[in-house]
Amino acid sequence: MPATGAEQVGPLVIRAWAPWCGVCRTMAPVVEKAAATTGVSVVDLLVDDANTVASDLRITSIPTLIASFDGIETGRLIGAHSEESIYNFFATTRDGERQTRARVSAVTWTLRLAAGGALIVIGTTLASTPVWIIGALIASWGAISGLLR
Amino acid sequence: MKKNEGNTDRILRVILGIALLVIGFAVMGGTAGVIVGLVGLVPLLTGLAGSCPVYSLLGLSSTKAAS
Repeated sequence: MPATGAEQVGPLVIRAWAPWCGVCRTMAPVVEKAAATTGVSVVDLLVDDANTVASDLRITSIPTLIASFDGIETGRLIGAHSEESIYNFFATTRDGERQTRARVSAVTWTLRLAAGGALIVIGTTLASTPVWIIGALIASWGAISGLLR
Repeated sequence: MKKNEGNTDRILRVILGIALLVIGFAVMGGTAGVIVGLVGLVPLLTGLAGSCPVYSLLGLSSTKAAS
């Protein structure tokens, strides 16, 4: 990687931003909180002042967060994201794991499967066709979500 | 579609949705029942998806960063 501080041993996040970028300013407190909580250092890259470095890092839009561990890029977070996503990004960076695309959580597919199952049972018990059909559709949704994880 | 509902929020929505769906379709019946059932689909589906469009519009979220 170029000389951005990413050669540092351990986890590091490069934050590419610009003062005129509203989303960058909105995300700043969340990023700082996530960095403080996880103990991951953040190196700021002001894209207007470091065009060449931004180009070398293939930064095409801001805000961009680049995760690095022992100088090797492990993932990116581009654009606006929820506090939870940013925290997870930092936590994964801290652990040196490669960032992967967000997948359906166990809570999500379990909830779908349970809700669908409950509706099938209730619908069958009360002989309500719409209820069990909706239940079957939701249970299928849950099963597919679980299988595609 | 960004997640903006916490787990408690989601579970409450699913319970409310199931209750309205059952009351509407299985208990009440008729046009009023169908309306109640369809209204119940809204919290049920938003709870199962984990994302609420109204929260998105208002910039709200019931999620919190893990600590």
